[in-house]
Amino acid sequence: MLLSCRWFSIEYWYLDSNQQRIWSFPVSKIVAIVHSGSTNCKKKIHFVLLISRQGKVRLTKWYSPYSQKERTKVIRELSGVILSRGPKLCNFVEWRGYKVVYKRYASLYFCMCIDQDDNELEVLEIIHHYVEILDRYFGSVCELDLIFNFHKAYYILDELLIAGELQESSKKTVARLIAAQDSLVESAKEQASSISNIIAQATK
Amino acid sequence: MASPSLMDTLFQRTLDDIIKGLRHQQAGESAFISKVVEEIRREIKSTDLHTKSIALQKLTYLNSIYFIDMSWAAFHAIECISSPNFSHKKVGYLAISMSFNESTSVILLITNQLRKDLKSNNEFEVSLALDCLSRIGTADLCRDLTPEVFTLLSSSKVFVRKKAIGVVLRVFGKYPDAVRVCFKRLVECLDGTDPQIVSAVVGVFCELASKDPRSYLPLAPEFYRILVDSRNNWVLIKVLKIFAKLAPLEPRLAKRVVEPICEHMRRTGAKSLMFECIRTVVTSFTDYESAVKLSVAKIRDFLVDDDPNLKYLGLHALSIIAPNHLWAVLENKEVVIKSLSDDDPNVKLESLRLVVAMVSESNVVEICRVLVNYSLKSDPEFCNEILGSILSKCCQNVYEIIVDFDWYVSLLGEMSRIPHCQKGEEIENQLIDIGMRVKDVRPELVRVGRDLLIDPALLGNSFLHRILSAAAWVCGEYVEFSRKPVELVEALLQPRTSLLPPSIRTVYIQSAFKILIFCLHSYLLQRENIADDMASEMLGLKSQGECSGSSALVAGKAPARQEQDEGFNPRDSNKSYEDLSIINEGDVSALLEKGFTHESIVNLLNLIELALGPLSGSPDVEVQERSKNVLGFVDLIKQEISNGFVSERASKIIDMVHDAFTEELGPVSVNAQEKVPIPDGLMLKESLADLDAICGNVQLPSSISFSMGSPFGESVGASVSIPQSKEESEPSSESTSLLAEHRKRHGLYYLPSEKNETLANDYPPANDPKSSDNTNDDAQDLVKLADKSLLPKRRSNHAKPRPVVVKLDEGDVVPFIAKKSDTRDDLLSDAVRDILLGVEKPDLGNPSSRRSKHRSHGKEKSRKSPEKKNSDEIGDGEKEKQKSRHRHGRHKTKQRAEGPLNVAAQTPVIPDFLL
Repeated sequence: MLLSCRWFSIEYWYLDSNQQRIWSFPVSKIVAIVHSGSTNCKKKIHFVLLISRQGKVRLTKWYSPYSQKERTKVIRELSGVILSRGPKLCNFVEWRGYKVVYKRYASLYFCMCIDQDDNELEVLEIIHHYVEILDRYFGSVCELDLIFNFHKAYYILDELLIAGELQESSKKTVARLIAAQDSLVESAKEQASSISNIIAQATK
Repeated sequence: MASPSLMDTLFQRTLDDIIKGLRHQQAGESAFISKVVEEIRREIKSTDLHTKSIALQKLTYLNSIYFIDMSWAAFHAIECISSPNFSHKKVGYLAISMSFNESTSVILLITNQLRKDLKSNNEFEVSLALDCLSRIGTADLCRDLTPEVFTLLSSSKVFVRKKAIGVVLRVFGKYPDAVRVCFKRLVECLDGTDPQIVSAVVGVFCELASKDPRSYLPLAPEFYRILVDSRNNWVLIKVLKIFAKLAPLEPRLAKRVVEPICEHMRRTGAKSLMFECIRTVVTSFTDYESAVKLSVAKIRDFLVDDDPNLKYLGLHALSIIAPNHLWAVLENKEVVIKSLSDDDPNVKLESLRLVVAMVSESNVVEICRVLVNYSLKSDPEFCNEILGSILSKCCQNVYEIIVDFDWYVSLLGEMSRIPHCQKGEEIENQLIDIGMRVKDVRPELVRVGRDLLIDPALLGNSFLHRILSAAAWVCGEYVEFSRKPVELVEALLQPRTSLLPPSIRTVYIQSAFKILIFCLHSYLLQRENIADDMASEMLGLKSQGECSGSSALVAGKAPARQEQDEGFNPRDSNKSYEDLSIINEGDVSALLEKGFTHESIVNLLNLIELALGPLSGSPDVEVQERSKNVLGFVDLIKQEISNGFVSERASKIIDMVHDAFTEELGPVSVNAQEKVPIPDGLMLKESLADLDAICGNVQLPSSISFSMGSPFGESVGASVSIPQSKEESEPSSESTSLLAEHRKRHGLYYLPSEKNETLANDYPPANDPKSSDNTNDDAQDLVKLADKSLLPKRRSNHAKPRPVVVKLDEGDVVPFIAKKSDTRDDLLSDAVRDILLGVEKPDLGNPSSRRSKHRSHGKEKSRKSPEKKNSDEIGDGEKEKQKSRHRHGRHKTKQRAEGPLNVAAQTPVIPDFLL
């Protein structure tokens, strides 16, 4: 009863946002709906691609399930479309009912595939965001950095996006998190290398 | 394979080495890779986790860049993540998130390790595990790890909490029961103060709401608060997306939200947020005039911006709003048309869509001219886009926007000649369709067809073959409008026609045959007329008092000739022809323009014989048969009219074949079926009573009356499933004429005595309404055209009863596309009807009114009718609703915010609340 009252007085809720929220939500309904939905959840970003101007793949990250075969095909198709586009054209390509947002930085094309009704400009910002973080991390990033540190590019992307959703919009935070993890890795590595040194010396 | 030796461990190549190596290999890349993979296979078996993890890292690299299979290393990846060493773990998790999928068998082994890491004190280990779960989570994993995720949702570390929120999306998707556990906490996060958390939660709800917005209506107050308070653009964009989904469901909500959205639009400098506001308004708030105005103003800013992205998005937004607010497009006409010549194909395409959306009856000529001219200059792909959109726009609703068909037909001809044109099929369909529907345009159509046929260059372009086929058919069918039929035959039989595919050659041959018949027939008529003229002339002369005896003779002769039915003496008439031409040159010259001399006919026959002779041996049976038929006919006629003498038999044959061809082919109207009288003694309803129950849902009841429209049973099958009217009568006339022709052809050889009978029988009663239609046709045609443009399409298509509607251009014929959509509407409204049983019942007996109703649903996006329905629905009560819940849902999504809807929209929500 309380609930229906609350519903009908929606204006009241809007006016007084300090009102204590009484927990009650049709959880079972949502369960049913999520159940009825397809098994693979809708993703905001379906995949991320980094392609060099020569069509070489520099990074791929798939948030939606694609088989190995499909992946190769997708990359071939998209690099054909995107690399052939001139510099002064818009950054969106309609492709197989999706939109691919791409942006070129130096010799690298950053591409993200999204749904038709997603916000293209927002995704452009995400791309730019990613590039800025990379830039900050590597210190004026270039293609070679990404080639030799492909795993780091992945880790940074993971900090930025989770399940195809932007989750960290602060560049500083991402930089801090990555640095913290790096130091963890470094210390672990030192440890490991010292051990292997010991083994190596022992087996000499 | 040797087990990894110490040497492998010591001298293992690092990832850097591999990358450098690969960069130095220009040619033998694959050989190098396979060598490296070989090494990796050895190294990865090492007991030393350090060696193993480096091997795994290398493999991951090769997999992600060179797509080397790494599924075989799945177990080793699991070994790596169980290492206490963070760097090994990291490598292992990366490998897992890259390579695992639902079918990876060892995924079962990962659960415990994940659980351990999720509970770890090290937040980075937790984050690794969460990242991994968000990527590979299966139903089992999600089920087993739900408690851990739930705990993390209230973690004190923001970094962990927001990742946990992100993972929830995956967990819900795979294991929906997790909703019971986690949902409450998720909603609590909405109230949180930390912007990162709010952003993450809103992101999750944005995705959830896109699937089924209705369930999230109760959260509207929270979202509203974020919309008003938040200054974080990332969050605002997502909240706007949620409201775009929610607003149509709850009008009061829309009313509330529209103002803050406008506020954001005025305030923000961020283009992405601006665009999201615009998109939200143009998709979900089209009823709010001021908001629409504001967003159109902002769209204009986008359009004139230098940034191609903004321009594209501006055009895109315009095309979303075009159906509801065309004025917005018209206001920005110049920009739209200018962007037609943009460098960017995307922008061009968008602006083309908009330009076409602007086309209306009053400007169709100008816009099409502009577009066609433009298509000449553009690249093949875009050229065809343009042509395609012109064609589809113009044929909408039976050429609704076309007033001047002469113009349109010549435009079609012009389009065919555009070098890149690949729209042959559509142009073909329209040429024939217009020919059948619009009587007045036929002369122009024949002229256009002639121009196409006569140009030998066109035959070489295979894209044009379909158009040429249409042109040939048109010229054959409406040859009476041609000024020089002989020229047409020459065009149809020119040597380059050998370039055509056989299926189209058959059309050419058949058309040539039709023209030949026409020529012969007019030749006969001409002789007859001249003979008559001469007779009367002579009569006149004689009445002036010369030789009354001979006058009586001639006067007696003429009626006799008429009685004989063309069976007059050719020699005599020939002579009189010459006489006449001497006597009265002026009169005859008019005749001669179209007229045929005996010589010209013989030439024509010779020409056909010469051209078709080789084809009688064609490997294609159709071509062979048709040309043989024509040749046989030519042969026969030649014998009969040799020496400028037409035998009675020949003229009879010609006459009858001509009759067979003169039966007009028309498009088939929606109501044709109803016109077909049911023959006595045919017990349709009885025999099909069972079927009715089965088909009742799919077809309109009128379809029961299908069956034997024509006594010949020729055309029965075809139109059965299409309940709509003339369908039957016209095809039957077509088929009867074909039948007549067929009989005639064979009759010539086998059953000459039967011919008369055939003809007499050939016109079934089914044709009566149509033939009467055709008589008052001409006069009303133009009026119709004019009327049509004034009437709203729905009315013109349906409201009028068929018999009055003369013709094709009107409701006579719903085009095929429209028919299809009709059936789709039927399915939908079928569902609706289920709900509304009580209301619709009275209508059931009257198919036309019902149809028009459906039509209006389809067209209007069910703006009004659902409203009515919903209120009915409520009356109908819950049961009904339960039964048709999903339809109901679908139906709902279409609704716009409107007063009476409220109640309906809420009813399903409230009871659920109480659960």
